[in-house]
Amino acid sequence: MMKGSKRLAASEPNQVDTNETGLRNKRIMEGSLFDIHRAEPSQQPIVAAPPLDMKRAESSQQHVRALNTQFASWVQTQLKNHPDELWEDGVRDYLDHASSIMEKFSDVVNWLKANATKAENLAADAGVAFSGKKLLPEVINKENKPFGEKTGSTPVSTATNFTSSWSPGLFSNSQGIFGFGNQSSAISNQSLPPSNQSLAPSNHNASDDVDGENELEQPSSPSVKKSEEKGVAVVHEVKCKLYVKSSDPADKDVWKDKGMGQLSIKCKEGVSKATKESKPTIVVRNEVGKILLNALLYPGIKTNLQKNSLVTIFHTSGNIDGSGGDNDSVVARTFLIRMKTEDDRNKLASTIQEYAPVS
Amino acid sequence: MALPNQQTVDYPSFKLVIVGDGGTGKTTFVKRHLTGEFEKKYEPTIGVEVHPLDFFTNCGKIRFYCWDTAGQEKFGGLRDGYYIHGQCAIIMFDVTARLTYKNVPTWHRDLCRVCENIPIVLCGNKVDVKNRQVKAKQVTFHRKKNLQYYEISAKSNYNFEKPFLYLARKLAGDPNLHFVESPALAPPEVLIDLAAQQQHEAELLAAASQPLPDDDDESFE
Repeated sequence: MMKGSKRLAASEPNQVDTNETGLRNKRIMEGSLFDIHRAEPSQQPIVAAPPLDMKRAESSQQHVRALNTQFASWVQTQLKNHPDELWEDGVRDYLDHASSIMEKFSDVVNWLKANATKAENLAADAGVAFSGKKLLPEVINKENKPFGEKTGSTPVSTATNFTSSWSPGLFSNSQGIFGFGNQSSAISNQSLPPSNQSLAPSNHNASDDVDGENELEQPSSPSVKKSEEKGVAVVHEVKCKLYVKSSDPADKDVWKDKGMGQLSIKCKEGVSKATKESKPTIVVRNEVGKILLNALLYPGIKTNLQKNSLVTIFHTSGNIDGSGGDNDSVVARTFLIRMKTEDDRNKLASTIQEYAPVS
Repeated sequence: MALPNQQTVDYPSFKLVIVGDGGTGKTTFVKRHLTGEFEKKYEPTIGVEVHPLDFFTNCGKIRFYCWDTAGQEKFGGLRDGYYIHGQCAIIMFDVTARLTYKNVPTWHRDLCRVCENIPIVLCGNKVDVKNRQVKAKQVTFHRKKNLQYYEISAKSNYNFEKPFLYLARKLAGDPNLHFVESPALAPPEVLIDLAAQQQHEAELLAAASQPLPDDDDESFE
């Protein structure tokens, strides 16, 4: 078969292995099954159809293959790790992606639909066995029934507490669903693009993915369940990197890295802000829920702004993070809070000033 | 399994052995969890260093005694003697150095000779580096040996908690175990007088004259 002529999700035709049929159908089998210039059987009228863009057809095929490969490997993982759970989220996700592929390559799909009967007649003529498989992907003919009905299984109420380990970002990364472009790092943490978003960058050469040079990275999902405190309002949240100023003058690095974390400023609910009674507290926790900083905002707190960082002094218990413990001494330490942008920094600075108690 | 001079705790604790070639990031990974810092300079571990790491989970507090072993042969010390009574393990390699992945089977073999049937995580570290040498699809060893594999970056914190979460789930026998926020005690209250305020201002001025820490990692990407 010529390059790019394979049908979407259809099995290869199995040529009947007899000299007679082989010779009889030689003329038909030589050409591509989708080649509109091939010899047509006499009983079939020639229908003028727009020519198929082979590059698009090949690209669509690679998208389908990539999706199926991903899905198959996900199913294997699920089977191993979650054999007694329903995988409806994952299957829905697969169908969403299938639909968006169909949408993006609607020209190929329409061409296939238009030529489906023609191709099947040809194949039958040529003595080709299709092993019961449809010419078009199953998804094309999917009915708009609820998921449970379609598969013949009983639909499960959404209230059922089946936990699914399906990560909604399985197929996604910063460059669209299949992210063929060169990915610089494995730390894309973006959610799925909307289904109408392009599946790949427009300048993408679909063959990039096939040689395995570019890999699909799974975003890291948080492993910590957030606990909500009653009677406490979170007035500000931002992702930050925390440093504490070394008290040792001999230290080469003045700023000691405390790691990445989620910064929250919390106050008591129902109490006037900027009062001591509101207990305005700054807490920074890392990805495993460990406290990196836990301190009260105090009257007259000063902040120093540099680039996308904010420097200020907090009073923490002896073990820096302020999580308590044996060491009850209170120490004033200088912290540097680095954020992604200056805008983030400015918002944090103004929140600190807004909620710090007025002396 | 604690060392003789280490305090025993009244919550579950496990001996975790971390092995792999020298320079793959074992110590940096442990330090990242222990203090939050990312250690840039490389100082080979001599023999072994043991660090307690505590995690809060929905099933209660859990401690890993991390036996951070030497990867470099010349500093090996007791070598597989450190593996005795290991209850779980991390085998680390560096995705920017092919040889470190080639040596994974040796580390695994040595580990399994001493510790039979323990949960093991294979970690490909330094995935933040651009010119990666070991591609994800080339990593197949874990499939043959039924290990869990994670791509991690001690530098950018990518997946940095995943190995511990997996091991905690295996050791607890609970696939739904998850980390929870450690309880925050009421922070200390302080009275700020004029003298303290002036001292703070002087301290902030001094801090402003210090160079900012390196902005070279991709933590916010």
